[in-house]
Amino acid sequence: MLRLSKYAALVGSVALLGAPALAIPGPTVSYGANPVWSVGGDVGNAYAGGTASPSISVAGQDAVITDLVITHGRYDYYEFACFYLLELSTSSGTLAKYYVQAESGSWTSLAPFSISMRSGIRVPDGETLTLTATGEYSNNSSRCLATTIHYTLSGYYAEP
Amino acid sequence: MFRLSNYAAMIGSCFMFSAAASAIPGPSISYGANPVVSAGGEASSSQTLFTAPSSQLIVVTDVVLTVSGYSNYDPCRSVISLITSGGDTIGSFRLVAMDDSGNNSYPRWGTSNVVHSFVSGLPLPIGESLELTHSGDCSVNYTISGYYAEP
Repeated sequence: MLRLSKYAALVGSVALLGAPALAIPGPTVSYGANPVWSVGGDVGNAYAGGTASPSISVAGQDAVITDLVITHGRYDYYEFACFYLLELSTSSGTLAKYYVQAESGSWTSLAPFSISMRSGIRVPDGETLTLTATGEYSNNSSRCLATTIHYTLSGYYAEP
Repeated sequence: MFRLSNYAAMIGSCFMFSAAASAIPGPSISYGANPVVSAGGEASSSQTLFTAPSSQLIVVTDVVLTVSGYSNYDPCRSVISLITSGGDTIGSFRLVAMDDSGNNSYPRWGTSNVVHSFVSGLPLPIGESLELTHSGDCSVNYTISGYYAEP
């Protein structure tokens, strides 16, 4: 007769063998609602320290950024290139920095800068995210001043 | 006497109860039908893509924007925004296209097509509509897709 302990062993073993392998254990999510969020906007004056502070904070929760899509668009018929440094920061310091190119010549690309992250970037509870764009290089910086960078951020809320 | 099967039960159960949650927990789906939703076409100045029902939200997972409309020397420029009927901008994209490949001195060309699949997504709250707005002089085609999810 198959005893209870054997049933337990069987069930437990099935769970053992069927447990998915996870490279990165995830944060705890207990938001009480769908934890997914997103926000879009723009950073004006992108070559001279333009900033944006998208509202993604929820009290008692970290906001984890998993997706970042940066598009830019100033382009004219001259062969000017504008390279930017885009920084994501909070009061605690820098979270991420990226080089973004905002014009195309024969040596650059118009492609958006977009990334999807498996773990993401954690914006701690109670801190405000700030995006700051500064000029990094141009062969004619005066042509870059009017550039606006557009952003779309997406992520989810998780327990701190 | 503590038998071998008891040990097996204990060890197996430990694994069963300690199984980690996946890295990024997905929202629950119990739509009772195919939960996928999508919209596509050529962007006009404003169009409603879809409306979330009163009991479900929609999570946009894929955004594809392709752009054209340049003329020689003069690129086109457009901005596409995804705005909920509640007034929140949940996506914003700046697009350009140009072709000056015939310029012997500085041949250059390109488009800033957006092709992105979101790990998390862009949530459209229950009962709200998603508007795609377009400003600028490019011709922009869009495909936006996602799924219904529990709030």
